[in-house]
Amino acid sequence: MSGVTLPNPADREAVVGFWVSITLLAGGAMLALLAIVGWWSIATVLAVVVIVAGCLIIGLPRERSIHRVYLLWNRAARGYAERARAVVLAIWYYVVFATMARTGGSNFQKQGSDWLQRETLSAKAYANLGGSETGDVQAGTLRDYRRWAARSGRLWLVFLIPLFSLLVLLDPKGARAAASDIYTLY
Amino acid sequence: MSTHILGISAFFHDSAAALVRDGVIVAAAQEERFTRTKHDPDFPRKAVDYCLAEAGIDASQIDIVIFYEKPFVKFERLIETFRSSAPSGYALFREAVPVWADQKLYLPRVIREELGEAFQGKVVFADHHESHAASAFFPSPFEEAAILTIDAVGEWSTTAIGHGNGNRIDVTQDLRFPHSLGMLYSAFTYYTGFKVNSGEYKVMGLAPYGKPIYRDLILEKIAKLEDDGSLRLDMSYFNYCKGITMTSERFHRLFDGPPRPPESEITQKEIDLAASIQAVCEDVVFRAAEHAQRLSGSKNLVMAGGVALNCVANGRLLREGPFDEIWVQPAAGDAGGALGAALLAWYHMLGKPRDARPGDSQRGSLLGPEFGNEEIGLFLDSVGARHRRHTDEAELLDQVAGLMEEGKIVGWFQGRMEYGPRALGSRSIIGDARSPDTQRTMNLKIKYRESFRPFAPCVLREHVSEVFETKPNQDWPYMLFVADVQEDLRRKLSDEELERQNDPDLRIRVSVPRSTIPAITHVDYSARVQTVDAERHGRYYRLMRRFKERTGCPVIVNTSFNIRGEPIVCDPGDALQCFLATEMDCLVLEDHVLLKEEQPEGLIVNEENYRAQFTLD
Repeated sequence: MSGVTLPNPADREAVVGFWVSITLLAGGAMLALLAIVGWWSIATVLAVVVIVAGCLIIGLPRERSIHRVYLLWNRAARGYAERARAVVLAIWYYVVFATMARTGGSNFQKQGSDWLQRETLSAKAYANLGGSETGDVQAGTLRDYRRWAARSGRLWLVFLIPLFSLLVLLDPKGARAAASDIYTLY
Repeated sequence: MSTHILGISAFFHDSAAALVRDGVIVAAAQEERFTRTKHDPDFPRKAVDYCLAEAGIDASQIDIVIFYEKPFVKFERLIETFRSSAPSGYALFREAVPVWADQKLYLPRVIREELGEAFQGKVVFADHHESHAASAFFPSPFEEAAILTIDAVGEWSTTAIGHGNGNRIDVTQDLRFPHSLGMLYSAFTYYTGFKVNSGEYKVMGLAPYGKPIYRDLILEKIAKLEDDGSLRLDMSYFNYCKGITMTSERFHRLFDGPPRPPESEITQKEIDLAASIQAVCEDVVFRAAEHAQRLSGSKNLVMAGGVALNCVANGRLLREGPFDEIWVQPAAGDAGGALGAALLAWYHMLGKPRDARPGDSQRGSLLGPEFGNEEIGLFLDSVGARHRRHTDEAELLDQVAGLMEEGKIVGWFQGRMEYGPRALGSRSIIGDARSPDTQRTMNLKIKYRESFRPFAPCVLREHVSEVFETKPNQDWPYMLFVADVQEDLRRKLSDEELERQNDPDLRIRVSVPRSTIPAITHVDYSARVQTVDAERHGRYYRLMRRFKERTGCPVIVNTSFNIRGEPIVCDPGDALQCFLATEMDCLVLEDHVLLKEEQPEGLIVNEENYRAQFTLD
């Protein structure tokens, strides 16, 4: 038996798909490299095709082995994503927010701790994810956010959308529990 | 055709769901009870499933789903905070922003995905403090009332006041982040070595041991309190806007040292700090409530928000404040926001009329799941537990009351589970309040927790004023007010006992009996009173009547059915596990009675393994 012990068919498909993709990708990369360094010939192309086919033929029946590779790849990808997120967040924070902090006042300075007048939401405002402005039915996309930022006069918040997109791209799907000793902000 | 509204609070802490049908509360429950994860912040999948099952509907029959706060406004506050604190707030930024980028900015989609394709209704969003205000006013018995909501923070508001009248609430003024009584109290919770968002009630329980010697220092240096209850914090003493701790180095210097490490010895300094912040909290609540009264002119007050769970402050407000009546939402924390939001949708969005009922539309807060005798019997048989089913209730009550009279501790599991943080007689551990041993046994052998905290008494409502300093027949079914034990029930302490009051070990201090019901009497003779009546509490009331007939005592000890760090039990399986892992003597699951001594050896759960499942709170 070639060691097919993956309990979940979805996992099994993912592992097989991973091996096929990674092998073809590696083959494509080798071909590109050959073209760049000028070693492009029928023989070298054939050699790459043989290597790729060999990897597929040898690897696919050995799912236990490629599962290990799959796990290692995932761990490396997660690590990369986490580091990349940290870098993106740091750049964004120290460039954008630190600059913004110097360019104007904050709500803390504008608002005192004394009682402030406020209004109860109107019936129409419930549709909105934002404040008291009335709004359309919300789809749950960044378009809602953009429209809210525009309508509520907080246009600068639109410039955070690229950050959100980058963070979603670099999402390592890890658990994100709140720190245990705060319940303050999020 | 009926209108079904599902309220949801989630993605922060204490997720919950509540279902309202044509304005009537059908079901409400916190997710933590089902998942067994304390303060579970995830989407309340299981709580929603339960609510739908209780109403006998599926997702396709939900007309409106209302989320308890406005996510974009909250996000704006978050971003403003980062902007204000940059460049020193990166630690918090790194923690918070990915959560929003992944999930919280897309809540309509997330909610629809969670509810499945069958759900075709509207998804709408309420304001956080309006949800609290609605949860306080709409279920209250008042036609009109002043409203006061106080918590850590919602979107921007930290405290809000307004007025409710008929089917309308108007929230007219607020105090805004970062100036927050909830945050201030939590900062001291953190500094005194307890866990934020769960240890606040321990600080409240610790306070009576100390003297408020730091009160003036707090009000002079840290928090500026105005006559109208407005509160301004000096943010240089706090770190919650830019870090992942509550207090700053400056705060630590002011109080001569770093925060107490969790689980380390509690010193007189922590005790006095607890007394001091409790005094400040009471002052703020008192003045804010007076301000609400002046604005509204009402003699009734309703309250919600996490600070409204401070039953010592509530008790003082009722005794000394300008209101004739006060009603506090029993699920005053964010879990209660789910219910408030659902009621807001019914009354404000749909404009439906409201009849304030003299009865209790919160229905004793018994809004969670219940389990039938057949189901329980089958379960107990399947696991091999030895049990006896009583078909005659009088026989059951007599047995249980007799066991309590002998000093036994009983796990009491009856009817629908409570909504809110308190066990109110459906998922409770109960015992004899007259025994000086009950408190120690319950604390150390069952709850596995610090022993300085008092237990709450349940008292037959018709006898409440005989035992506590309250009005006759005072209706306090939610354990949200503190009152003193009557003078004639108090014991005069001997010189030796008075000497023990100075012992640094709080267990020595608390072991001194102060009244004829020592298990529920705190060191200042106060008690967190829950009244029990026939209409709301059914069998629990009849058990207490039977206990009274046997002993002459209308009071028993009631604590939540769980161990430290564990959510209160939800189903018979949770209850049986907890019973088998602790030194409880008896478990009553509806009609079924289990005695510990009769259980087979192999069924007993290892105490340490059981405790290891739960993170200490």
